[in-house]
Amino acid sequence: MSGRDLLGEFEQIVLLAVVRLEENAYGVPIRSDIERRTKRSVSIGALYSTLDRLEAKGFVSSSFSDPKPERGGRARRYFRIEAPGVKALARTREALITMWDGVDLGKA
Amino acid sequence: MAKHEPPRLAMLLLRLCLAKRSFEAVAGDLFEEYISGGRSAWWFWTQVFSTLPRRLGFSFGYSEEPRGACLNNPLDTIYADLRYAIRTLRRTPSLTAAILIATTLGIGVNAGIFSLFNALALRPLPVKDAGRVVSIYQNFKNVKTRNTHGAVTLFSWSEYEEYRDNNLVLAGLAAFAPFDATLGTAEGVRRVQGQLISCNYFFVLGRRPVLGRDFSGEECKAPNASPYIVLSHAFWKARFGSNPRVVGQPAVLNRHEFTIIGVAPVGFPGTWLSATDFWAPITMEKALMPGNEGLMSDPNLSWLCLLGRLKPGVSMAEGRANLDLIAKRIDQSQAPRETKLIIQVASLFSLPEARQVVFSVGAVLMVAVGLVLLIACANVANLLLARASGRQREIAVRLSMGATRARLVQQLLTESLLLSLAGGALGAIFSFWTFNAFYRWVFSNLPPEVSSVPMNLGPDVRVLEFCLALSLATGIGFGLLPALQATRLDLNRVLKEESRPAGWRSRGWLRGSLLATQVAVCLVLLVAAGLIMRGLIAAQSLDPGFTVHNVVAASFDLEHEGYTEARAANFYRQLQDRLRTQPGVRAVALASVVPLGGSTRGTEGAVDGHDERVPLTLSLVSPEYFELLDIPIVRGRCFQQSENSSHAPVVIVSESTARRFWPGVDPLGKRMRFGDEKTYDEVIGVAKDVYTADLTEVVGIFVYRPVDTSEASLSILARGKDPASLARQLRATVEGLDRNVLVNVTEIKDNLKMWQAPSRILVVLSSALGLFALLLAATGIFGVVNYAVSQRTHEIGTRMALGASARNILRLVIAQSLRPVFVGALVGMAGAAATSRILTSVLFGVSPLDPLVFLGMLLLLCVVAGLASYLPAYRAARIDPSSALRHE
Repeated sequence: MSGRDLLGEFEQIVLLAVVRLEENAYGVPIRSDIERRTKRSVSIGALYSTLDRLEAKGFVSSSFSDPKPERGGRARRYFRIEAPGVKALARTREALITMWDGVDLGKA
Repeated sequence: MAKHEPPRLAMLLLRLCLAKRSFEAVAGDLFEEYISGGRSAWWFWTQVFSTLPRRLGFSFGYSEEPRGACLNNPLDTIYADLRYAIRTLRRTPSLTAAILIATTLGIGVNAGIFSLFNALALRPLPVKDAGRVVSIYQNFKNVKTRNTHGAVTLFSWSEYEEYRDNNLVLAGLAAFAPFDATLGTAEGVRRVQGQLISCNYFFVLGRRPVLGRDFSGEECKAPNASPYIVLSHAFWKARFGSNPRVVGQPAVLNRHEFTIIGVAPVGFPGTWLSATDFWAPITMEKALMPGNEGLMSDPNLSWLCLLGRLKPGVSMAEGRANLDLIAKRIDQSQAPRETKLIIQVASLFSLPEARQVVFSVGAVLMVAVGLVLLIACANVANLLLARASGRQREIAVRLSMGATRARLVQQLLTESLLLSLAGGALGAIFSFWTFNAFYRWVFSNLPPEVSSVPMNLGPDVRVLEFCLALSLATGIGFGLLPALQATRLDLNRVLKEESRPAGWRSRGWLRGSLLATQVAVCLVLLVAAGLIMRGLIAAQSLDPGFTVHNVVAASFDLEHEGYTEARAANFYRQLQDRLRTQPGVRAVALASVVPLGGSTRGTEGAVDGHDERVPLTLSLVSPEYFELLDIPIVRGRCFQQSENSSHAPVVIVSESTARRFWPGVDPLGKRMRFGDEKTYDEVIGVAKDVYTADLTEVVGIFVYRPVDTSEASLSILARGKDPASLARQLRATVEGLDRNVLVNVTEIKDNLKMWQAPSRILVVLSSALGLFALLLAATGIFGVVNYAVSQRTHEIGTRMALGASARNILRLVIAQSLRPVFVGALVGMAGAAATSRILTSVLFGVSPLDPLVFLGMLLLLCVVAGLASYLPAYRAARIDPSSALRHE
């Protein structure tokens, strides 16, 4: 998969959630943010496999916090967007805007 | 209410499925949401499933993932292995079928025997929340005397009260005592099974009557004041035709009138080894268990079984600790007594004495069927080894491409586990099918007291767990060695040398020892089967030393019927007189026990001049007894009529008794005494040794004394021309004297059958196991030789090209392939010789080392082994050398 590819819909949504949440971007808030805004339920399996893929492409990076008691003594995995991720988001947005330009769904 | 923990099983699944790094984050997220977000367990599970590999077919919620989202997790590889295993097994259907048949039969036989064991000793009672109901028994140390009615491990009434009133751990403690009684009906009397119970019995067990009422606490207070009974459902159906108006009707038990107050629920046959017909309050013990003094008052009398229900939240250990404290307190009042309580979840065979029997018999049976499974495993292992050789190239290629050995062993083990699990499932089904029929047959061959055991043979969790554990053990057992062997390869040679397998030689020893194991175990089983069969033949032709034909016995228990001693004596005298005058009756005699009736009377005795007291078997007989049964008096004289009722101090001893006490000396005139009696009796005669007490052996010390007609439970023997009409006459005469007396009429000849029943059952079981073992061993030998021949085609071709004849080849192949068979046979003979002694009790005089059986079975095995190896050897001898040399 080359860096010039466009992002898939769900990848785009996940990346945007990571950007919006800034310092607080770990599994639980990412998922609730997406669910609240898109009104669609997101399974944890789908979320993490997407995040893993984005990390493998270099679009995000992740780091573990200290263990938290409210998580049964497990660490949080925080995600941060990286430069290639920012570029990919921008490219996808541009492509979509270009495609949408002049489209009137009422006529179709 | 705060939740403490998400579902643990789901957590475990998650850990199995995910790499450690992913698990940390995912599990943490789920935990956080589950606890603080108030999510349900269902939600938790769906989330866990969403992380499972897509190819397993789970899909929850929003996703647009490509396949294989969760790679490199163990579940994924297991799934891949499974699919691969199914594909490979389908390519070799005949081999797969052979393995499946072997494992199905092997596991099926084990599951069948285990279900029986489970029904008897492990399955909880058919009561509410049975896992919380415990049986309590006790063992003593430092106790000089303890009166016993039933078994010594039971409790006295005062001990029961102590435990019932002072424990802190039981919601209720019930006591019961089983007994026989007679029920008066319009057609005469019949024997019924009852249980005397404490009035909280049904409450403790959580089974309330479906009709009428339960006993009230008041009814267990005043003695003899509550003539009420509750019927069992089965008895109500059989005896009262399920009459719904039965409540309030009278029933005559032991000639006392009782009122039926209720009917127990269906499927509750009581809590004893034999199904109960009715229950009565414990305070009615005088009427229902007459002749037992002090049942309620003697604090040192064992007669009550205890069943307790643990309070909610109380663990078994807490229960034990608290009841032990009470035991200690009782011990203190009766120093130096030390009591050890035996507390366990109550089952049909809770009684420690009965448990011991079931466990020891069960162990022997499980070993026997375990051996069959062992043969099946060895057989399958050999088949798998053969197949692994055929797959060497595949394995070599995978190894050379970087697969680890562990990975390949896992793959091969998956295949064998798949086979064994499938075999286990089929075996479980097979056993539930065939063994029910087998048990019905077994029970039709057993005396009625045994066959009324209210067993539930249906499968339950324990049986399923047993099958599962056995399947897993089997799969690893027969799969691990071949898998380890198959993956130990010299890659260079295998890949270069094309088809000729490397390591065939090194694998030969494994193949050989597996084969030898099969043969050895098979021979042990065959010898056992042969010995038991010889024993049965011996039993059928055994001369018990006395006449069994045309003799009929009638036994009574007049004490139950409320007879006094004088009335009993009168009854026996009248009965004898009336019988003697009847046509067709040749002789009549009285005896304390029916010959071969299964019960004996024992006591201790001492010989004049010796202090040593020895246990001996006693029979009280009238003078006619010896003539009636054709037992010769070899020395001295017989009893005389005048000695009959006068307690004359005379005895007749058996030949072996005379030899044991007075070797080389004339026993006549010698004296001996019995039990606690102070006076000595004189030996007036010596009778020939006979098998009246035990058909398997002559009882060592056997003494006859004159009969005491005031005794309540005697038997009357009559000899005539036609046993059937004799039995009718006997019944009619008894009825003419007192139509309410319960009489049990048997032909002595039928008693022989009862003694032969165990060996008849064992013959069928052991022959089936032996034949099955032989069949498995034969297919094993065939498979191995056949494989060896196919591997050596090239070599055989060369030999023939160099001038070997077909005969030479035949001899070569058979000789080489039978070597492990001979080794196994030798080991098997030694094993059989070492273990056959445990069968002594069913051999009826046949030596456990009977040469005929040993050599016969050896011959049988060798013939079968020879045949099994001849077929492939014959094929080898017909190889065409020119095509064989081209064979790769």
